[in-house]
Amino acid sequence: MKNGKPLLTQTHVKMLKEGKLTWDQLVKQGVIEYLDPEEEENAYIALTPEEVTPEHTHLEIHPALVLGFGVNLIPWPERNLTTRLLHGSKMGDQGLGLYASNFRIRTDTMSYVLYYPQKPIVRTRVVKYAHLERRPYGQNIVVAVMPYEGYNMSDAIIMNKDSIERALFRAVFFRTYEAVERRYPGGQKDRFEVPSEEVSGYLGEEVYHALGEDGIAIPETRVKGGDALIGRTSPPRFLEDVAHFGIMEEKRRENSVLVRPDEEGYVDTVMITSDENGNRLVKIKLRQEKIPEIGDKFTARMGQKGVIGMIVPHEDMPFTSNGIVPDLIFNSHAFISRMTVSYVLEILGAKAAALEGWDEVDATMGEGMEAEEFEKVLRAHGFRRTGKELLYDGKTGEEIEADIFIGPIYYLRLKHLVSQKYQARARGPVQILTRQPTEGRSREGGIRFGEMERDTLIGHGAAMTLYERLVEESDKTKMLVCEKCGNIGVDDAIRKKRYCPVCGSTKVQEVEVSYAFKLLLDELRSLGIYPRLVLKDKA
Amino acid sequence: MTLPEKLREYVEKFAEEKGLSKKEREALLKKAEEYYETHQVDPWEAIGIVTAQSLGEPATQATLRTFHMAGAAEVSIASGMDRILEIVDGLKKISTPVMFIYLNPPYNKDEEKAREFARSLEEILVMDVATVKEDFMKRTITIVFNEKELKRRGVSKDAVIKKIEGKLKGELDEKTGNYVIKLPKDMSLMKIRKLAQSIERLQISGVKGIKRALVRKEGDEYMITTSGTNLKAILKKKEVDHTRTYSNNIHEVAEVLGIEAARYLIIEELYKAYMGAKLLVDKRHLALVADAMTARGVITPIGRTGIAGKKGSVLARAAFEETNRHLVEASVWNEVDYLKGIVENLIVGLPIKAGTGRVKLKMKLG
Repeated sequence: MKNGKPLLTQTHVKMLKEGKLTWDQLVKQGVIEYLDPEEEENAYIALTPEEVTPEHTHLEIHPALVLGFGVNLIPWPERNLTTRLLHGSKMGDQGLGLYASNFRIRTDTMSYVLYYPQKPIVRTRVVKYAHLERRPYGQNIVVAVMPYEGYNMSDAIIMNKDSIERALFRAVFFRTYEAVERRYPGGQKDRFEVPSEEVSGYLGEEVYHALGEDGIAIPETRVKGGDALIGRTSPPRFLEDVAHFGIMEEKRRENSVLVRPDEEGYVDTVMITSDENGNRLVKIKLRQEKIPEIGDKFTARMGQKGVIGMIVPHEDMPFTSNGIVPDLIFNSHAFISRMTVSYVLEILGAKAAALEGWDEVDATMGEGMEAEEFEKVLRAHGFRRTGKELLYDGKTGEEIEADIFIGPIYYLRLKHLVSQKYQARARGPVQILTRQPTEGRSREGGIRFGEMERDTLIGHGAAMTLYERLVEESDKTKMLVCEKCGNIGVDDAIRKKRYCPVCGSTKVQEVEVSYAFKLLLDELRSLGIYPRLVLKDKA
Repeated sequence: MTLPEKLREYVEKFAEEKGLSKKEREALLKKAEEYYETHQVDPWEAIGIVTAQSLGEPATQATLRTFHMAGAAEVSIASGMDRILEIVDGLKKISTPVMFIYLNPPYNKDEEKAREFARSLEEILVMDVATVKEDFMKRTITIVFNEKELKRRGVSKDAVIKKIEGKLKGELDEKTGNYVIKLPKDMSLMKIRKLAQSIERLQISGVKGIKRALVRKEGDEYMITTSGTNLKAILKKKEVDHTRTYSNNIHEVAEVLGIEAARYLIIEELYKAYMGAKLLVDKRHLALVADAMTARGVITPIGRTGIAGKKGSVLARAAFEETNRHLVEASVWNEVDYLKGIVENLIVGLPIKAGTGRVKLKMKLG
């Protein structure tokens, strides 16, 4: 942007401040130029005005802008390892907060809003320019850095139960359910209504308790998994069905929108409009309260993430001589290999700010405040220079031998909540085709016992364990086999007769196989291959 | 259970070296027997899968590690993996064929003699020492000698000419030093080109297939390593100690020395490849792979064209690869599956016939 000198002059800056000039005008004049990463390859960009030489083609507006937006939200980014910044910037996107001020009327499929978001005490200038002070994404909490009974090992964290009960990191989760009144060929339509008992596939009165007369859930009703949010009936799938039985009255199908099996909450917003084809469209937001629990994920801004390993009552938490009880206990072992210096600096800075009543501690790259300033403040207030304090064990009341580093720091609650992830199954639905257990959390499915897992059991020679996994707990079936021709037999329960439909023999035996094998035999037959089973007595 | 002969000898030798008394010796032998017994594989243990896992897991780790270290040029691990695949797939054309030639005395003690012998092995073609030019107008083929190459390879011009004369007569042009062959006027152009090419490939000296031969000192003797192999021809030479000389081409070894030698070579080559990648693998796993690959009397690769494709059971084959082909062929040939293997029983839904599934209990009467 210059011939040895920046095109952007003090005059420009002055005019900008006075409002006589706009940013866009500067861009148009070519004083400010946006470069894409490929253009950067052929540019020689100076970081500061001092280092500009005639060879330079551009000057960065601020040195911090060599970093991306996400990294610039991290305090003192220049003092951390690159990998930590990368993690931190990625997780910054997942922090719960006030993601949009119009969230009440938005219809995102999924959204989270934090109850009490706070602006960070320690922040960079980018926070201000991005207006993140007005829609923050975390909370300032008091953290003690120490191990606690082993419940915070391997990146786990301890949380104060009373803090959680005072709504620390409490959030709402919204999910939008939607339904359309579809039109079918032949002039028939879906209908929003409370399905009547005659409707085929009727789910029972209980399921429809939340619905109003119009078949749409009433706001602020409590619903649980499986309840109908929108009652909807569809016309019969095949017109022949009606004709065949000679019944003129149409038998409609149940086609309601139900709450997902693992969700429950309150009907929040109900919106009725029409879609692009003019069909009636209903969107319902379900509101659910998400209180932090064991397994939820949290992080400080510099990539120090962890999940809650234990929630400890206030009285069992360690406390300082002033009576300060930490909200969170962070394990000191998380520092050694990751070397997140800014975590330590942030606690020092925020502690000083809290004592001095500062509104803000600047931590912008290259111009952030220095540790010496914080140390001076801490000393002046009678605290130790290092930020460490004498803590007492909450359980025994004894002094903790080591000095504990404690102070406020900005933490984010990340959108990965255990309540939406945990999965377990003892029994449940099976697939129609294979009769094996279903797959996937939303279908109440099991965890796949795959080929490699199978190999380990074979390797151990655990034949019966393997049989139990693959047959007993999966798709075991009984099948009749003809002794003569080896085909699958038929059990006619009405006439109490078992016979072979191919050769007519009544000599059929019951055999236990996996249903998948029976399916294989059927499919082979459909290909014109004739598989025969030869039976032998179990020796 | 008694120790195998070799192990027993080893233990006894050890005892002798340590100067153990007869009583101590017996105690040691007993302990060794006990150990031997506890370390044996149990009946019906699925050693195939244990082997597959023991060889596959470290290989996976090594591959992941190379990707992880992207940039830090660590080619040796990748090439090690390539070599393992080469062996296991039973490739006929390997990327680096090498021969290890051990020499009989006096060649193995005299570096100069070994070097001379090594030079005599290197294959030299006419094209290595001369350029062959054809002239279609004059119907001649001219051989232009490269004096530098002739000298470097220690080949005399006469030797080359003699070799060519064995095929076609020509004469030496005294002025230029070139060898000119005059051809009949009615010879077709195609034939001239073919003739020139065959002259180019005439072998002057050395052993066919051997590109380079280097003398190396191993212990207190000299031996030769070559790139390019021709085991059959090398073993006939009287300078060569044919009891120790081998090549790293499994197919060649199987053909020349027999399938047992190939089995041993597979074990050693796999071991070398794994060790080169710093992966510790028990030799018994490698022995099982080698056994499986050589049990049919010929080298059988592992994979759908080899061992997995030649399984006795239709269902087992169909479960692996090319399902449709196996099922259709089985139906055409009226194949019977006796449900003896593991995979078949898993498909059908029966307990597998290995490990605890193989054991049957009987009531003790009376």
